[in-house]
Amino acid sequence: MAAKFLFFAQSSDWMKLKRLDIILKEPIQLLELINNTNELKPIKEYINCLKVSINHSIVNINSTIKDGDEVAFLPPFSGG
Amino acid sequence: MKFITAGKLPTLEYAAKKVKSDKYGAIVTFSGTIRGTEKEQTIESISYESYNEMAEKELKKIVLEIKKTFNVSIFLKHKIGKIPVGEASLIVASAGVHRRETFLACEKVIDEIKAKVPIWKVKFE
Repeated sequence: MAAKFLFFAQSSDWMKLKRLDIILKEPIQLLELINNTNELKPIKEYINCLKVSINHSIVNINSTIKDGDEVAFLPPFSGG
Repeated sequence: MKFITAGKLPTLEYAAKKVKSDKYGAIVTFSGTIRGTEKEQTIESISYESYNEMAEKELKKIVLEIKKTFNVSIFLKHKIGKIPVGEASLIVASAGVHRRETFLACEKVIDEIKAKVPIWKVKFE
């Protein structure tokens, strides 16, 4: 099992993909993972513009994630 | 009930029927439609994307909270995918005892959707 990373709207444009699976050997802070993972590099410079969710709940960027979690990078909403 | 659809939105008449009750004296319906301009550019359509599972959960929370706060009944549907100018992306119906809380509830639903639901306009054509 891996942690699932989903990218929506502008965040998928920056990443040039909609989903990325990463196997986490142990739980890790999300920001630490972003800072130290090449595949997540494109999102790094935009992180202050985004909300993040873990398993459908908005969380702080310093939250801990683990294998099996679903993490989503959410630009400002524009529904309605 | 699913709040998000990629298919055709129901009519406002259908939405009003879903909230109508003998205990209510007011029904408010709202249709959010696609305008023909975006940042002063003429457009023909807007495409919407959603994080479906999370959006459905957030919409359910919003509806439950507003029903409780205003003592109203709420029906809403949000369309995703490509929507041409003039067509609706969102319909909301609220019903309450009096018009004051019914109008307020309808407006609050829309405000909450814009603030809390992971749905995005992703393409302007």
